[in-house]
Amino acid sequence: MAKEKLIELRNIVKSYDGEVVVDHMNLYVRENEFITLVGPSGCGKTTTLRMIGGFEKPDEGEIIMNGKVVNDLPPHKRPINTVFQRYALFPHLNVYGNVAFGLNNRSYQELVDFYTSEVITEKIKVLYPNFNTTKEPSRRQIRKAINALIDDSVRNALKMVNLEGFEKRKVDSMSGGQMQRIAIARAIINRPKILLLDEPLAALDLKLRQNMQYELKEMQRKLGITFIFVTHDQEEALTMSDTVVVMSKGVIQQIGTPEDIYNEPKNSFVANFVGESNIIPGIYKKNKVVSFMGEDFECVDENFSEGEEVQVVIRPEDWDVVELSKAKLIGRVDASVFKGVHFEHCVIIQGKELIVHTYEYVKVGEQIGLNVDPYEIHLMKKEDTDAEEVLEEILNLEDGITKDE
Amino acid sequence: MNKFKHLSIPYLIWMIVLVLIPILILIVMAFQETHGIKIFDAKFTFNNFQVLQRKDILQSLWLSFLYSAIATFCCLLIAYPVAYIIARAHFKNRFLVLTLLILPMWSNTLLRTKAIASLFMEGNIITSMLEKIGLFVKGLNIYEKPVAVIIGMVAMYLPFMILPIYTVLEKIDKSLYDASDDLGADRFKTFWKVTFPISLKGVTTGIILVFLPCATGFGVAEGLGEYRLIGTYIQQQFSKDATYGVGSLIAIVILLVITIALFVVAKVDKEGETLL
Repeated sequence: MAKEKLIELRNIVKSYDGEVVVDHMNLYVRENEFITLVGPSGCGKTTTLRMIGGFEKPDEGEIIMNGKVVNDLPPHKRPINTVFQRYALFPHLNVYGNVAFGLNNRSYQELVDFYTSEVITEKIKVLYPNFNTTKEPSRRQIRKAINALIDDSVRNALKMVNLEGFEKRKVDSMSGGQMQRIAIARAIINRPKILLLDEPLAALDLKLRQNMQYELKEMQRKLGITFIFVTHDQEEALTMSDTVVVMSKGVIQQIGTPEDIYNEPKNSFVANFVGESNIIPGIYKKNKVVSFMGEDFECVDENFSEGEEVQVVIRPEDWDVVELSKAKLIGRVDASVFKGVHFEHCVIIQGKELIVHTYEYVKVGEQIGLNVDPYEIHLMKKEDTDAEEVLEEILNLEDGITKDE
Repeated sequence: MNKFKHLSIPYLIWMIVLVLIPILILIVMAFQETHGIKIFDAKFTFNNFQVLQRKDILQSLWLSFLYSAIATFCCLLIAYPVAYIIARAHFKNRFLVLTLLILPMWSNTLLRTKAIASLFMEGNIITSMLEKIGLFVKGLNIYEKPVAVIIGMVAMYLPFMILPIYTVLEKIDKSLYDASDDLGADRFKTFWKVTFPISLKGVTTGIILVFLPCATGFGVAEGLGEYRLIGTYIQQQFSKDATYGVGSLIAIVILLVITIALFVVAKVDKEGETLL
């Protein structure tokens, strides 16, 4: 099902004070897509979102919507709405006032176009039971119908986010999760073509965040609006998205479905950032055989030449723990942590640490035998990125959660 | 929080000794007709209330109110744009600009009033300086005129209007402007639908801070040649005529009017987010 490109970024460059934040970025978003920009803080994902929203102008390149360059269009003229990182609810308005804000800003004519004259006529018939349909409604009647329709819209939007009956409440008396929902209702009431969400769940606690992830996905499906979501949480990105865009240092590292990103990372940054990985240097011996840690393994990757140096990616959960006699690799368990569902073992083989997830407990200090299935082995081209740099980025991410702006 | 309760005790004593007791004395005095304070001759009387029917007193009250209202309004007109520009400016020296605006407050009020007064006279330091270089200019010559009093009040109390407005404007989350823009409001609409309503708290505080000293003080008005305001009258009862009873009564009346006004403000502003 080929859907149309809704918005396209071409060669976008943006820098602040001489520091390049987004570097020649190319990206397009299709209709009705849930796309997530994910990356460590400072990777340019929020800046990208702000350029799409119109809050920042790109230094170079074009943002194209419906075939038109919209670089200079201010936010209030774009069919795009945003859910801000810290909600940005208006403190002087109650819940109703916040949600109705966007519609109240529209002119009479814009509202007539927004609701269409048929819907308005229907509403007039409800409001004025003895309304003569052959006659043109008066402006006063139309205005009254529009006001009633706005009222319906607000109630529907609040219903959508499960906040019926909260209309009169002050926004600062609401909890974080509720404020989040108001922010979403305030945005979707305008029926935007694209909804931008800037780390909307970052301030919520784990349980609430998981619920909201599910609800957002559900809401996107129901509304049929394109969602562009920004997060630093790779798990969130994988859970919710149709398409994941992994970014680092202003450059897109990989675009793909969550499955692709997880199973076929293009480089060690993606492999490390999206989930945990064991990255082991190896050599592509011959067709579908790779050698690492002194053993030959069957694999499924084909696009490498014989004798080429490669990087082998094996996810911690893809190891099979087997009896020592049947194992290809034998190591010693150096540490073991219970993670709830599984155990995380740190296994030392030939002086190299590997992370292994299993359901079984293994005593620290004991020997462990490991195998891996051919289809669980993913090969990547050898690259220059040194591992320390990658590690640093991951660490930055961990303490940079609230700093990303 | 309870363990900090006793920290409020010094303040409580302060308030009782310097605010509550004096007000009680004022109330008692309002029903006395003696010259000076004569504790043993104290007699309860309503005679002082006749003063409230005197034309000149009512005129004074009205004039005080009018001058203060105009001065407060002018302060607001000047202070809001100034506060707005400083709060939204990107330059680093916002604090310096603010300090420059507040700096006059550090000098003696009386001296400042005298300085302003002399500038309003026909011949003043500036005209004589200009004469020295051969320029013969007439001074403003508005001393003793209502406009002089109002300009004086504005000059004196402007910082009290700028500061609270600046404080609220500065505290507004910048993302609210983005949100408003995002939801279809241009800059004009954003100002009237977001910025201004949120800043109202600061405006109310500023109005109270400017109006009260204008309406009850006498220094500025007298310095500029206006002796008809109610502040002057009260002051005379205590310093010159020693008719403490009459002075107390009028002071109480003003106090009541202001209290009622503040009470109304507090009622309208349900959240109690202003100064009150």
